Amino acid sequence: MTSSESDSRDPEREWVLRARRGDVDAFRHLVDLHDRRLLYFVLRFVADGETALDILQDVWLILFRRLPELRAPEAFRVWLYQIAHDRVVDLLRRRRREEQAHEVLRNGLVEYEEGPEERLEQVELVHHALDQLSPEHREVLLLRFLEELSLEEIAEALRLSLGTVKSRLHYARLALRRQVEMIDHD
Amino acid sequence: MTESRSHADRVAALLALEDRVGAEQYAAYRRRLDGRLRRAARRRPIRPRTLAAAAALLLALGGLASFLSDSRRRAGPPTVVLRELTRDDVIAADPHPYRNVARCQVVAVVRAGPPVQQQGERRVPLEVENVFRNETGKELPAFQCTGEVLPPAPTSEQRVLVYLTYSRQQGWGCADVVPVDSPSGRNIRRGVERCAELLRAPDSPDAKRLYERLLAEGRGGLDEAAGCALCCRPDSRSADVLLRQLRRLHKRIGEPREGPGGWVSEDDIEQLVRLAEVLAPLRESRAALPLAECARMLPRGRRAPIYRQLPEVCATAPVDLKAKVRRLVAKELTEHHPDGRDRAAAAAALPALSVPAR
Repeated sequence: MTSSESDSRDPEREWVLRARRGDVDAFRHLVDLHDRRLLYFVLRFVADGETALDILQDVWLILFRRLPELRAPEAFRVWLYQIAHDRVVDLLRRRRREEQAHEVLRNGLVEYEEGPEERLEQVELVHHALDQLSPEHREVLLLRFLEELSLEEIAEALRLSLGTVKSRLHYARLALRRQVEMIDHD
Repeated sequence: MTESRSHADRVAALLALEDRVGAEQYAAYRRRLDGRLRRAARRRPIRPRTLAAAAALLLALGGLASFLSDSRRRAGPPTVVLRELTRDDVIAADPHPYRNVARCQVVAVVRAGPPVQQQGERRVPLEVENVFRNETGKELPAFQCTGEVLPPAPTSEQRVLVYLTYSRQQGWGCADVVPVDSPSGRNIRRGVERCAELLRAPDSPDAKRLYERLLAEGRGGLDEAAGCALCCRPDSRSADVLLRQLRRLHKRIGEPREGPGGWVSEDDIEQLVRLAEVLAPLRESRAALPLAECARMLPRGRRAPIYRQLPEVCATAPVDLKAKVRRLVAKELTEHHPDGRDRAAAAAALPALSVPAR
């Protein structure tokens, strides 16, 4: 994380601390800060807007109830996406996509190449291409790009090993690049 | 998109592309979330120090709350009581959940609250949760209903989709009510939401791109709800994406098939009919030949719905194209074992497909 990112997260720490003390307005402010990105994240897995909003509401309510348990305010976003991930997985499981999830869990590890960060300049292409990726690839790319979480944070949010995250991110980037090229070519 | 664009800008641009949740829908969700958060905060265990501070503030807050509550009561929106279903002839003849979206001024999901006794009758308050359509141009009032609208009266917390009509002269009416808590109800709700989204698409500054997104295969393609919306509000900017779907279908139908009789699948037939229905009001002549060719490849007895749309599809077609379509349709009349309905539809279409003699 760069120093500027670190600075930008400091005020968030204050809001988290206030919300942890039961300040609803502070919690609402946190919702304002993260809700649009969280909605985008959830909508990449749930096509229906209403279902996505239901999930969002559940995520925020769970977070609000459990906030007093959060020891490190810095981990707020990791926790937020962990809960969102769990809710989405619950839903996908209910939709009988469990096998897909298991298959990905069985993926072998591939050494992750820490190269120059992809700039993802072609935002519109990326937006459309994301929908074509597998849920697992989509999720890991969004956490990296949208939230700029570190690999360790992603591993924590998704309850995966660091190696699996590296491997998944590697394949996800390849898949995204392929999709962007295909759409661009069309 | 330039290199100098910051990461935050790119993220903002990415988020702006997501339009599956409308502004009203999002606002309703935030109101709902706020309410739940307030209730959850009340249930949260309170620390002793907070308790003492709260006690000190209680008297002052009490006065303020009382003042606010009074003023809110005075300034609150009027309550509309829905007493019976009021359907016009069109809705009465065809109370279709998706077509009704275009016919009604307001379509919303409401949650029934605990019944109250007011002015000698039992009323159920209806809390508006999601507004899919509001063509009244103003904020919605509070709603209550009596047992006649929803027999039996909805139980507390039950959610229903309400189709409301509104005009200055007639006031409010309830055209239909559909429970949405069951799995089938949830499907209808999803379809209604999709239908409402597509009905709004022509108002978008970039409608063409919006159609591309809303009609993408991953979003359901031209499903029943989308078909209804496009029939109710045809828009030529949807033509390109529909034509692409038609070309794909044309290719698929033309491929050799396995199975008994080698028939085209029911899904493909349904899709073809829907495409013909939405392309006809657009008078999209580019669709004429693929539609006619597809119709000829359908099993006997299933071609009539396509033939019926061809005159309108060909309304602005060049003479040569019209002649080609006419030749294909005319073949129906020379079939050895024609189906009566196909033959009748083909015969009815031919005069409109005639071309002036050279």
